[in-house]
Amino acid sequence: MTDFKPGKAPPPILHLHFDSDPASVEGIIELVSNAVFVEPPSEDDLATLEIIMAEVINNISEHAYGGRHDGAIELCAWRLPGAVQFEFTDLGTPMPGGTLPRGQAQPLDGPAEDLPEGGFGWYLIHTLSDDLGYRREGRENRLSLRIAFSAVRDAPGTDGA
Amino acid sequence: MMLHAAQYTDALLITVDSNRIDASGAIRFKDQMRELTAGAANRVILDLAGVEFIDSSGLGAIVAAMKQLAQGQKLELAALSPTVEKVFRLTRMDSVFTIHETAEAALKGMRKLG
Repeated sequence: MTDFKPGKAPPPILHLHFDSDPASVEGIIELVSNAVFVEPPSEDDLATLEIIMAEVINNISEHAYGGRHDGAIELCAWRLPGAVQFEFTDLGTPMPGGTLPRGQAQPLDGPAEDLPEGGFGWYLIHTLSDDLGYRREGRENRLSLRIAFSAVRDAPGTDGA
Repeated sequence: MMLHAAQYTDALLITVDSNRIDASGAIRFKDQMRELTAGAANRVILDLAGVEFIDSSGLGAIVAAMKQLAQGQKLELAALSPTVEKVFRLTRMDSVFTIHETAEAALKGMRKLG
């Protein structure tokens, strides 16, 4: 997989600004889907995109912006061979400890009353993405991740095509 | 989000009147599930046929709905969309619930009451 260095990157194929409102997630997914897929996406590609977008935007809304729905979020996307690189920027509070939650799989073999009801979000993000990274730059949180998609495999505009 | 319940001879069928179970509806979902399942049949079948998307909060709400059932009651799921199925599979929650292809399959041989 190609190393992605934002400093040397071509202009993003997608650059969106929107509010930290979970109700906007559906619209964002459609805009991203229309921009990044060059052939009709498989159900699996779409599922991955929907899960990632919903979990990341919900997390920014609930944690970085403390439940506020009017915080600024910026999303950029770049097409790579067989994958899409995303970067989310927000102006909310930093990640606790300056690092990403680990998102470990939770034990499911105990009695029903011990089953986890939360903690799935970061686990899903970790599982569905590669090179997940977080950095604080001044007042900004920057979350970067790459997702492999079958529908961008031979896309024009990727440096491997 | 609204849930609807229908009583069958040996099960309660609950359908979801929303195409998403997500952070914005998770608490309401859990509360309505509690109301509908109180005193209901032992088998509770949640028909997710109309649900295209579920996020981690929605998944947590389904787990919570299962945990708040009375002793002897069991929550089963039916008709998972590809995205819903993926969320259950990745989190391995597909191993916790009995999952049916369709609600009809889960209700096979039963008669609707009332």
